[in-house]
Amino acid sequence: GRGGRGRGRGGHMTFSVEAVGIGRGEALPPPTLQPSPLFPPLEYKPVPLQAGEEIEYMLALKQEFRGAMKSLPYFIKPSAPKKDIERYSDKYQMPGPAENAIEWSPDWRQLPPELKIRVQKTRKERRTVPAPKRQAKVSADKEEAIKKLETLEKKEEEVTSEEEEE
Amino acid sequence: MTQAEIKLCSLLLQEHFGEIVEKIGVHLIRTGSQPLRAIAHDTGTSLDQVKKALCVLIQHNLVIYQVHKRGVVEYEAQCSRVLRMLRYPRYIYTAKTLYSDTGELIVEELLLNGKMTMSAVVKKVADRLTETMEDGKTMDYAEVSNTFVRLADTHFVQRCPWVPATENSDPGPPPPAPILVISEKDMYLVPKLSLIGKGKRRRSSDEDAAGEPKAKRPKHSTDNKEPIPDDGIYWQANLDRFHQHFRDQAIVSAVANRMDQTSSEIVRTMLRMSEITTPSTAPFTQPLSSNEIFRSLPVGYNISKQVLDQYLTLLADDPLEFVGKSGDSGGGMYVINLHKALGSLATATLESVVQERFGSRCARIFRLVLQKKHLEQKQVEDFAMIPAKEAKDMLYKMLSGNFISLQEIPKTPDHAPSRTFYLYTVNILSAARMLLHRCYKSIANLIERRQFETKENKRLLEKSQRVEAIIASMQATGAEEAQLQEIEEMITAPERQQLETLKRNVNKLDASEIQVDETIFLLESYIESTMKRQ
Repeated sequence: GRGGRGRGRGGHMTFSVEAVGIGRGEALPPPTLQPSPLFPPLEYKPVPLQAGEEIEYMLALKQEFRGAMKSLPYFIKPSAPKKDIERYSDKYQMPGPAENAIEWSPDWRQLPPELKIRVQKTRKERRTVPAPKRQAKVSADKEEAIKKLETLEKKEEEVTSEEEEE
Repeated sequence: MTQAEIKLCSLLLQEHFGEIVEKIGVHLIRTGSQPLRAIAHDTGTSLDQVKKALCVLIQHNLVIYQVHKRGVVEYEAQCSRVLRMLRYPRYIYTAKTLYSDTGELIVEELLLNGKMTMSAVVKKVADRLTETMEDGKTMDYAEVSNTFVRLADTHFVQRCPWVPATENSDPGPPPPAPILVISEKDMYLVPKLSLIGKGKRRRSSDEDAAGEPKAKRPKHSTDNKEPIPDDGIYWQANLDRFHQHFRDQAIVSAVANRMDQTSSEIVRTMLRMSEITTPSTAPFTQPLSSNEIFRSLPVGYNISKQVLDQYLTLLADDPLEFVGKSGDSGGGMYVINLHKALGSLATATLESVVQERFGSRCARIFRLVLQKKHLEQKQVEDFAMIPAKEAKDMLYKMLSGNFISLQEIPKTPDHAPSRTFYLYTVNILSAARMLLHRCYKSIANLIERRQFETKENKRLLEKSQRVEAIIASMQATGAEEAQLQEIEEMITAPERQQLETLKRNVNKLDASEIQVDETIFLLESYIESTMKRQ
């Protein structure tokens, strides 16, 4: 390039370098052959951050907002990885959301119908779910979970009583 | 969209909505408008996941859809709207300063959920406020409603586009997607609701269901089978109105810094009077007469008419030209030069950056070139009274940082280099763009670092959360002090130190993000205002 040949200044430039203040015979700095460093040194120390009640409050708002979003149904977690082996803790984990189901109810009157998901599982059908049905389903899930826990409890009791006998 | 903006959008989407939404969102930002199947195909995501993601993005006003020929629906992402997520804390805080806790929670709920009906907002906010009140006290729906109406009247919240009421005399095939409309006059129209009720506290039995995923909680609350009175009427936060407020704030505080409190109050009054009459993108406000301003000054302010006139003259004569005089009737007609004010603010930002990055002598040269518009190398050395070698060095530093540029002015038609002037100049618009781009990069770096710090300490954080949960449940069941001590000691002293350091670092990084976003706002406002005038 133009300034590429940095040795002395035998090469000619397209503009008169005196005009921008490079005197005769003065050497130009060597060409840069690599990208700038990732953490360039800072010549001057940066000004300290703003402080005060306002900033403190906004900071709290920001962190709370972030936390809240993570627990709302809009946060779509990637699907759980397929189990490699059956694990003991599987018995105790609540069944996660069906892979296909959406966990909140958008207003389908204002969305393209092509975005609706047809869910196969009979238990968790969620087309347009009116409020009462939703509650019944939720309590059905709850009951199922409670039943599961109860049977597990019973099994455990059997196991411990067996152990005691030994 | 620049790479820096896309990167930042990606981080924001991922932090707030998870990786799947991030993938779809970033894809749309990169490629532009696309139909459903193309998105699924190009991103290698299952159709169902894409549908879920699009629902979330549309709900949060980050993606819109349009029906094209042959009934194909295409989805388009709004990159700049995604970037607004950085400003959410500021919107919420502003609502708090203007309309106290109730306003704060209303805006927060709208931002958390994207769109909501008024009745849903009122109910949720009343519940939340009731939680914080003393035992036995509850928040009345009417009070929350009132605040909501005030927010709508002052345009801080607005209606979302809605499905027009059509007559069903001609039910053709259903359209591939509902066409939503929005009309200026109905945008702030609050539906006539008579919301009666009080906020409810969460009962402790609800809290026992710790195993249930939180997603089930909203469904619990829709216990009532009453029809929703304002069904289908959704509201969102009006970000532009907040921006107008921020801009006014910035102008007022600039005047206060440059002159005094009284001048800033006068400017604030003028801006308040212009809120409704002047669109936010206008280069200057409608002219206001000195008499009108005098009548509109805040009640506590006891300055005489002459003093007001003196202040107005001073403001109009100030070289920064925040205020201009546009006529003599009515005691003098004055305007606020919004565009010029934004320009001054952007320029001040640039000067400040040059000063902090390159030193005050460099800043002096920068201000000099700004003032004189075009200067030759020699002239810079003379005017700034800085020796040639240093001046050269500083100019080149600023040149390579793109704060200053070289302008060629040929003396002869053949543009011969020896017969051409080379002048240093500051192009404020391009320097502002450069700095804005840098700000986006900075925030992306800050977020990545914060995520890294959190990830490094993940194990410790989880342990600390578990311990806190154990302590909380033990306190609820009335444990002894000694037992609590024992549990607390599960976290060793060095671990506590580590957690403290982590918290300090995360807070610093978060606070930095907020501060950089203030600069982004100023620069974006200036650039937008300049582009509109071209």
